[in-house]
Amino acid sequence: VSEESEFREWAATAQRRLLHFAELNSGDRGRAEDLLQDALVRTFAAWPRVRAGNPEAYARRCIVNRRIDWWRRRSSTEASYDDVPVPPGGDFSAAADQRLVVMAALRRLTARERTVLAMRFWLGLTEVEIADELQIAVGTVKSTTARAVAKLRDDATLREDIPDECVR
Amino acid sequence: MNAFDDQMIGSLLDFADDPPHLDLGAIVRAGRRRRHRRRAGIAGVGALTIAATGGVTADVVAGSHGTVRGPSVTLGSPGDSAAPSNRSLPATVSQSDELLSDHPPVDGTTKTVVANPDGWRAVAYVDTAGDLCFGSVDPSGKAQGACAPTGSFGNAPIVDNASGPNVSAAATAPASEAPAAHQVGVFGVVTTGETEPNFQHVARVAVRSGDSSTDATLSPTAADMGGTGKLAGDERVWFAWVPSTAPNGALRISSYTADGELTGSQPLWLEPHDFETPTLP
Repeated sequence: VSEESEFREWAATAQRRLLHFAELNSGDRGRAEDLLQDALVRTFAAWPRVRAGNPEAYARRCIVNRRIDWWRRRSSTEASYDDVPVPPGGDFSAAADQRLVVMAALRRLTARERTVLAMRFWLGLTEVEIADELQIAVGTVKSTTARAVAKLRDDATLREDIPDECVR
Repeated sequence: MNAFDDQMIGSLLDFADDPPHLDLGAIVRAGRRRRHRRRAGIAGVGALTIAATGGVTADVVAGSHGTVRGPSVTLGSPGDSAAPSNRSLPATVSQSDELLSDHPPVDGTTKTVVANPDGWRAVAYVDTAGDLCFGSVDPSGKAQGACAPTGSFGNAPIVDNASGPNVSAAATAPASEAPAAHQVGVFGVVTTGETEPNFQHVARVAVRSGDSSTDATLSPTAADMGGTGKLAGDERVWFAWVPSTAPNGALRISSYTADGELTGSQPLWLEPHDFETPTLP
């Protein structure tokens, strides 16, 4: 099996998860696609040394790091995400609407909070695994997670606009 | 929404998503080009090498001229092991000897952050556009380097709304200045208090190799650059050199605030001959 076919096979199975991860991290679908593409390029470039390990973790790390680069670049030129409008409440039977509300709520978190939240509750990684992957202390993972959850809990839009049945 | 447990958060985050539409062929081709450029860069470290990968981060790696060398600038990327390459550079980077003419210092002066070896200098300054520049000057006075908006140097994987001083640069410093024997000096760029409102001073720098981590000795020497209010000095750090931990890219240097928050972390690109100073084994 050539390395290209091996990479393609891996990418075909991992790309959807990675895209979702990138979306949760960036809070933006278009940026997430850019992040994913960039991460896959870097992952293929490093394929000989990452193939035997955990290439998906490597790609995730690329996504997290590149997202920060974007944040840095946009920080002085782009408007705050706080102003992003959310759809009016009411009918959230459509998954797309729920997605918009959740994404808006995520954008009100800090970048690290989004990353930790995605790793903890979407990927299902343990606090130790997150700490290892992000190279931060376990205590930082815990405190960041607690902050992020508290913010979501206190998010009026989430609280008001997403009925329980949407998340059950 | 009444209950807010782990399962609910997981469900919230697991919203439906359209599949990505990627051209894997193009990704593979781009990956090959990236790999080839890195290999070319590795083969070409006989001269001062400027490399770019991301366009917004910079670190300084030790160039090599046998044992006579000065620091060179490479724009690093998170996934890389800081291997130099010769790819095309973003507009903010000067790959020529014309760093100083392309990016003149705002007050006509540069700050020498490392003068090692003899005749070579690593300099930092703020240019007339307000960008922070970082470069190396060879014995003939020619400079190579990179300029980028202050605060964008560094390769911190975990930075939220606050940016601390990233350990973003690594270049050998004179062993004679080392506070203890068998130590190697590296330095990093300090971010600016002007553009980084949550500027936090670095309290700890650790160098990690595999599972072992060593705290470095800090010698903060940050200085205001040209009266601009921007700090562009260096946080020079010293760490004990363990011969077995010298392979390229195997080292990672990280900086932390007093609260233990990671402010910067990146592979440390040092070649074995960077340790070949008279006072070191």
